[in-house]
Amino acid sequence: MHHHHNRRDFLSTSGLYLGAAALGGVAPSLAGLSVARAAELADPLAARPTHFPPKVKSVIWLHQNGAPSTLDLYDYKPTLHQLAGTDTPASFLKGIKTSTQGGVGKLFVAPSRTFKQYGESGAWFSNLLPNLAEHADKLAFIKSSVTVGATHDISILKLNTGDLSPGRPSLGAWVTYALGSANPDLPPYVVLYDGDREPTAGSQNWNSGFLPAVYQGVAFRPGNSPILYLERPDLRAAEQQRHSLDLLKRLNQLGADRYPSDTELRARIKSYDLADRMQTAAPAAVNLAQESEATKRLYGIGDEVSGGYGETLLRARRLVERGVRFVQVVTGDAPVKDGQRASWDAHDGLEDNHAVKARQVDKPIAGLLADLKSRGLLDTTLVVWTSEFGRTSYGQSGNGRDHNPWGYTQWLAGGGVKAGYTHGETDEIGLQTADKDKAVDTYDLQATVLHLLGLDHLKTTFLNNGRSERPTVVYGKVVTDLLA
Amino acid sequence: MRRKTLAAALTLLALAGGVRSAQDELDADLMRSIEDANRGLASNIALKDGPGASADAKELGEMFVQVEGYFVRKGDAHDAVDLSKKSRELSAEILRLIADRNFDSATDAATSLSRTCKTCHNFYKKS
Repeated sequence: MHHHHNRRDFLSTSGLYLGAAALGGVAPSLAGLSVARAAELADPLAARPTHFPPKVKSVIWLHQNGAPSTLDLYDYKPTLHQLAGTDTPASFLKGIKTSTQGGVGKLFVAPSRTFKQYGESGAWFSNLLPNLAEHADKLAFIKSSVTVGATHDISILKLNTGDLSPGRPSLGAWVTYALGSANPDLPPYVVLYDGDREPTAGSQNWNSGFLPAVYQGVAFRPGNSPILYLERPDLRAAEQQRHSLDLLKRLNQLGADRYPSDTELRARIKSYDLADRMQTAAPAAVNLAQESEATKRLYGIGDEVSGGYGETLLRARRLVERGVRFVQVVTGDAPVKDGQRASWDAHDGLEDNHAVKARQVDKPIAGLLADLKSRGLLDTTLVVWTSEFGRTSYGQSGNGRDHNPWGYTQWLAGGGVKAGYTHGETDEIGLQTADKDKAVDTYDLQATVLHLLGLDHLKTTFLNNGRSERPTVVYGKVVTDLLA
Repeated sequence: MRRKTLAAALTLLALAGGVRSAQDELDADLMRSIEDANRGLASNIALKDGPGASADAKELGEMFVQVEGYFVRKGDAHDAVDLSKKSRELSAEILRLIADRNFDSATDAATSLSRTCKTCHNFYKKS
């Protein structure tokens, strides 16, 4: 037993030391050991230095759940419109496996789809995004996005964690591990969603994997009570609660002193402390009552389709305003037809689906960009519009589209981003990335996000079971063309 | 005597054919070994473990010789031949960089190697 205790002590010491030393990008040294250990043991969420000057302080990660057809939003392809209703020419299918789900139908264009150019950049937007289009010159498009196409759950995991199976830390967890917290009264990594259901695949997409548990994301529920049991029960006095929390903390601390490598326990102590402080800080952060009616209208709040997502994005702004590092926002399902709620996953009925889904997000995202800009926050915030994959140029079920991991659009906006720039392109029908050298995989997107936060993805490392791990696994390349 | 020689020759031919047919499919174990060695390489470079990283890079170089040979024999796979050749060359470059203790450049080269693997899998992986 005594031996076991010593071994744990040793592992704890060496693990913390190497993780922190690697994080700092410095060679191990005895001086580094004491500083790193002291910081880690005192507060695993203490603010930490970046590898180089950051461009942004926070990230708002807008995951469009279900995979929108970016061919119906941003990627205008005249040839696709000309060839609609015909078979896909074989030359466009070369090098890809199309048997994802529904085979290859005729090339498809939704009957009501039109496109226009906006801003000085001349970026194309469809008639589905009239509000976002007004912010064309704030965006940097990636029109050569690629990933591994599989089921939604698997590709969403890859988008968020870099792996196709659960277990690796999410990007937000890496950011929190690397930077610590900028506001001790709020979680540094918050997950928001609208609708009545938790996002697809749930907490695996915001967990801390092999990183200490304290770095996992905290999911806020939609609605007026985003944090369960946050308020003190009426029957308990403030002093009573204070005493019981203090006792709980002392008991947990005894356990933590005995097992210093128990990161679950340390995370629990931390979360109790945080919950205590959040009783005051969090209601203020998520309470929209203090926002003006004009601001609410800006976010589309009040509209039955966009209202929920608008409230979520307004909360996201309030959180980054208060120093939250990483806000991961997942679109909830919206009432598409006959009251049935749906994600962006339009294998059929794309016209109806995307008309509602675009209305759900168009005004809120445009409002978020305008609001961040007017408050001077867009310079210090990175907004990422992303999805697990795109959708095919060819149709499915007659009026839908299948999954497309070979070429789709994502965009960035905010500090350090080359606004108005478009990186890469798809082929003439929008099926595959045209120039494979310009392909941007999820690892590259993550490396670029980390770079804008002042972090070198190659030096953001953690020692797990003797192996040095990084957010981008063994891949990742910063897309320097996207940087201002 | 002549009959015995013929029998021996036929036996050798049959054995060679067996070996050849085994080599006609890329061994899944080989690809898994490459993946393991590649992850080990990234880790050892990050930890600045010169001997460990060198061993991984050397092993990778040898395995990419096998991969390149397979695609040359397979034919009609110019991209795969080029990519496995590039991987072999990158392994050799990484070995040199590690010898110079230039771990930053070795990290970049190892990441390029991983991307090359990925590019090849996009076209040729059977799943």
